[in-house]
Amino acid sequence: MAEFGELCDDFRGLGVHIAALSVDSPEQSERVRRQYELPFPILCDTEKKVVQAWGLFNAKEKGGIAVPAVVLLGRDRCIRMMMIEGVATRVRAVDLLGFLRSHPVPASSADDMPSNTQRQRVIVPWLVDFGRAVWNSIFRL
Amino acid sequence: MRLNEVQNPLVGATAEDFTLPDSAGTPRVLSSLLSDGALLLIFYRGYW
Repeated sequence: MAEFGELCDDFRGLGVHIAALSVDSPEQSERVRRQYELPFPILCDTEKKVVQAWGLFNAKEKGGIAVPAVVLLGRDRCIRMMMIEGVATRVRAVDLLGFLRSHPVPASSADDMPSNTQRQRVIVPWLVDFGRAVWNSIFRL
Repeated sequence: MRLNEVQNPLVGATAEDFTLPDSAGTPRVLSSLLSDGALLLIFYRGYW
């Protein structure tokens, strides 16, 4: 996270702001922010509502904490990328910065997807996946 | 297993707006954080 702090201005130059999120209290988060001199806000999901809604909740450790992940959102709140971290798959800030330099984030999903496709994915992403799972269970097993 | 069978269903979906306090206790709204650009939201395990 310190690496993202150091590159914060570079990300901002690409139109990408940064925020962090954990289930810690504001006091604990402030300690982290000062320790790493982070120039971006830390959000405190103490009720664990966001981590649960976003499927990034690890119930097995310390009474429930966030799964380490980096999520890229477009201005329209469209989730563009979700990089969920394992021990050996931590995304490096400098690599992500390089990627965003060559792949700017569109202001809205309509800019790079046909509108009917986008509407379908926004409203019923789970239905699409459910349908795919049913199809696979019938035809692939 | 094909790649598109393991795609996270949240990718491509629109996140529900939320309000959470920051480390100073100030309420922050997701849509406001997105008011002048994209946002990288870093989920981390917490203070150790």
